[in-house]
Amino acid sequence: MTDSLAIDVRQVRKAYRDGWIAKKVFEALRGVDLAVQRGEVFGLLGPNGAGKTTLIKILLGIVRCSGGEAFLLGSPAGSRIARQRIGYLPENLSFPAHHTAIRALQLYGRLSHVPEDVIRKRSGELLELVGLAGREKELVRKYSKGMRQRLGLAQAMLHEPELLILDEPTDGLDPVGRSEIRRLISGLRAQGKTVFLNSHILQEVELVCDRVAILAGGTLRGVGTPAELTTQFHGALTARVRMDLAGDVATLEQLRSERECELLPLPNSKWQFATAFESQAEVDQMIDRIRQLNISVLKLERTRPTLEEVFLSAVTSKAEDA
Amino acid sequence: MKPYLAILIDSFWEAIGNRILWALLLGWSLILLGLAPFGYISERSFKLSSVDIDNRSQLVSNLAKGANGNGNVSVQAVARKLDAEFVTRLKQVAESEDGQGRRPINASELAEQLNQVVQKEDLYSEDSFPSAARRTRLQPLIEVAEKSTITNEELEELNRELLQLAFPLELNRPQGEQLWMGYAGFKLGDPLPVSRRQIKQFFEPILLSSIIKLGLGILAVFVAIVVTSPIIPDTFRSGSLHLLLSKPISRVWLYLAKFFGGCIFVLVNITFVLIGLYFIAGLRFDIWNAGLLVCIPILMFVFIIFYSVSGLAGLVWGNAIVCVVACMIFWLFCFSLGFMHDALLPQIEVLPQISRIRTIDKKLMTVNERGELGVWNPQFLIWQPALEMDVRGQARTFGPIYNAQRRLMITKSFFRVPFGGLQARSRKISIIRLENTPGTTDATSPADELSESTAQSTTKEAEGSSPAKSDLQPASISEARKTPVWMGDTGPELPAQLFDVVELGDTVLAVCRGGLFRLDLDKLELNEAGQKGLFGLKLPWTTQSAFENIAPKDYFLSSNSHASPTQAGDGLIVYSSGSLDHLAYDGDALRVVNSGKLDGDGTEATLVEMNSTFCVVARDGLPLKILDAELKPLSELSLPGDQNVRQMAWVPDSPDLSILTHTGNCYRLDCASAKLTALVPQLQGQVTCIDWQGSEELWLGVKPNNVYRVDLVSNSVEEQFIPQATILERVFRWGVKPAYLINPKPAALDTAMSYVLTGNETQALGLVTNDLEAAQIEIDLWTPIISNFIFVAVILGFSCWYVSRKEY
Repeated sequence: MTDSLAIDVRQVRKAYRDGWIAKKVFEALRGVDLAVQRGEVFGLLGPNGAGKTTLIKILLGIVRCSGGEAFLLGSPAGSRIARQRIGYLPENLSFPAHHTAIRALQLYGRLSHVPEDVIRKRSGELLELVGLAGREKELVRKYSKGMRQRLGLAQAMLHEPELLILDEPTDGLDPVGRSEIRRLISGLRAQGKTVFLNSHILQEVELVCDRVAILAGGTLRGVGTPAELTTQFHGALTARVRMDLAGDVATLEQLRSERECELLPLPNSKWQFATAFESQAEVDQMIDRIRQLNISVLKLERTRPTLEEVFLSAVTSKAEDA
Repeated sequence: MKPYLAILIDSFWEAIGNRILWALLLGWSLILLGLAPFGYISERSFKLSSVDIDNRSQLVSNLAKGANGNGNVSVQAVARKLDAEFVTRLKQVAESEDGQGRRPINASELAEQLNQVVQKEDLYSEDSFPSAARRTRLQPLIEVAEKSTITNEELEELNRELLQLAFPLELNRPQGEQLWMGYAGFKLGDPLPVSRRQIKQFFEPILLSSIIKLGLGILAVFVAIVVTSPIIPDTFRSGSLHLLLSKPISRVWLYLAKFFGGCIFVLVNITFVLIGLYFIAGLRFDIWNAGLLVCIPILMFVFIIFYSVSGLAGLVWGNAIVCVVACMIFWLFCFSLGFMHDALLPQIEVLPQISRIRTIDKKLMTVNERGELGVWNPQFLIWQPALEMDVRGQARTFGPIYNAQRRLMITKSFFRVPFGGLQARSRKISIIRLENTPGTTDATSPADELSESTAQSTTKEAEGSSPAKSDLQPASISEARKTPVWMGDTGPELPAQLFDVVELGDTVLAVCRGGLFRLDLDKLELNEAGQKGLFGLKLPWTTQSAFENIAPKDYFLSSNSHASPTQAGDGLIVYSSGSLDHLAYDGDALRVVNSGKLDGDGTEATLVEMNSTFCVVARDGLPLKILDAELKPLSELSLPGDQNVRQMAWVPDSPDLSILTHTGNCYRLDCASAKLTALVPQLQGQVTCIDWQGSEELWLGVKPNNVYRVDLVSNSVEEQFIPQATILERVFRWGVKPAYLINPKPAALDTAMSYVLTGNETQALGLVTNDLEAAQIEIDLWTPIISNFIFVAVILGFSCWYVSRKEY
């Protein structure tokens, strides 16, 4: 256990048993190791059934792990001390029908041992922050999904936790709402809070997360910054170049015959040429050859693989391995 | 604020926000508003109503006779005051034998006509009512009437009492107050046929507990279960649950807080309704019964029992409909077992209770609460029926009264009918004739003889004391249970409206509403011969009744009476609607030696015993009263726990009185010092009847149907007569009863409610019988509470364990 870590997961395994007599065993987690530093925004990625929710439930103490151990902020995961120091926004959050925003914050604040005066003070601030000011006395059952999500975020922040575990925080939000959530998360990072984010929206994770873990089939496929992950899964593809060319069709066909590439026609007798290179020398050689063939280079663009590509690559490659 | 308190408060707000709650509260409010204008309307009145007329046809007949100048002078005096047109109708109706072809005179018309008489100023005259001036109650009224200073109210009272003197058997005793059910100040129907005390004692608890049991105990609890059933499943649904579980709170406390939060909802409802009922009953009916408020926690307890099941079902299946179905299945199971238990309990434990023990002709005989006369069969160790029974259910059997000289026993069984009174197919007494076996008179102590052969400890057959003198000798125990020992003869008919048949010295006396009738044993044979007839012809001289009224002239009893021979057997003490009369023989007839008046309204069921120095009166719900030989009050005392007396008997050769209560406790009362001491402490709570055999030995009926012989010198049980159990009794004792004991009994909390509403530790088996001697079921207050408490603790404990282990 390291106190400096916000989340410390060591060889955590979880097996579910189903059935009354002949119990079927399903392994949701198969020895996961994970370390989240304090103050970072950490994203957890994985396809459906990867074990993400199980990992979060273990961190919250909602389910017990079958093996290994997990710590939150230096305390055993699920312990009352650990739970007191975290804020949690669950996926598909629903509030009791009789709650208003104020009453919901009052209840969850009391459950988190927040003094009454602090609840009163923070409620207004937080509702303002999440954009629910003026709607606090309405029944939550009349709220849209996005409003409920924002209220959920407010309750997670009410007791000023050191660690926030957000499960699909932008689920149901419009682009403006997503942007606001991203802004909030950035603000939390600025305050030194640790955010553990579970999201399906890869672009979002890529935008706000310092580091990302990819979980699939109950095992961790990779952990690191998006760049590190790209290197990890697309290390052989150091450069991918796309060029807009203008030249004779026959000459271009000759170029295609010399190297495996994509050649797509563009308007005004232009062509788009795209291929991958092992090194910069290869790129230089290719430009020399194009010039030799008297083809004009109108535009040259070097592209990186997206996180989605990395994610798909990570998930599929391991699936193939399996 | 503590987190669990926050959940509890939140549950309360959740309940407050529930539309069904508001709909319910609105419904309850409308019901309470609808009930609020109901109430009594009470008037001090001596006017008659239809319910005061006890025997309509007899009254019409007597009034017609009086109108014709026949019959009693008092009746004639009343008839003279009647309206002439009505008198004509009276005569017409009386002339036509069954009133056919004429419009019959109904009770309301009679009451109306007699009420006109009640208001006449000149009804009283010494010639018309010669015995009136001797009545202590009437003396002051007659005095003011003679001085012409009588008020209207006093006049009505005097005339009503005079009417009672004229028609003692046809009219009920005047109460001086009439009660109506009223709605918003308007009288509903006729006056109620019961007194305020009877309403308070019998109808109030029945009415209130019915409303509470049916209205709240079943209906409201069911609605509450339906309304609260979603609370637990909704809480433990994933959307909101994961958030709750992420908070630093215990799952167990979370569940319990939600559980008791749901209970708050029901508490609000029940409290609202019961407080409303309390004030309506108090303000409108003058029933300020704090027991109604005590019913709030009891009803809450009933709800908690069902809600614990609902909560567990909600945890396991997470569905509100399943919660309701689980509750209904649970209720059905409890109801079935409870119904079976409650149906069998009176049959197995109460009705077989021994209510009288007699040792006649060396035979141990008992009468049980079914009215069955049994004879101890030492061969099969059972109470073998003495006679063929023609009554079923809770019955009353007189006797057996044994005449050693004639070697016969007299007995008769009657049903106890609801609201008092006895009924049978015929009133003819049964006579058991014993064989003339030398040396079998009652000169020897029956106990000595019985001990040789009949105790359960020994199985050897009786020697020379076979109880069966008939030809029907049973071969098996099942046959013995069905075969009567004797074939009884039918004797003369008992007089109508019988209260009791008692032995007064050597004579047999039938205590009836119409007087005190002595049985002439010489006429038994004649009566029998008359019944058989001669060559098919009825013998005319045998129609003469074997019963002769030896009561003083114009001596009648009210519908609530009890009589008992004095300890010396030389007289009789009679209680009749609040009055006491000590009668003694004056030649062949009885005369009143002393009279007294008791407090109370005279409608209380009463037992009375008298010896040469003291008279002890036990009344339902009132303290024991000790009076002197002149029937002047000496002292009062209450039995421990305000128990009601079931039986009283003088200790032979002693001024002490033995008292048996409905809770099976027996005491010895020193009348001089009014001090009670426990009798046979080792059997307290078990005794069902006492029969003294000398001052140091007694036979005791012990629950359920055993007889013990107890030596008071050594204070030990000398002999036990414990009959073999039937298959049904075994099934009940070893199957139903243990299952019922450990099973939760939400419905049995009704008894707890009955207890808090009535304060009685026992409950009559049927409807009000106004008879202290009839066996009652003891209210088992604590067993249901304990078993239900254990059940709730187990279910909640399991639920807590489940919720702590469950992975959501």
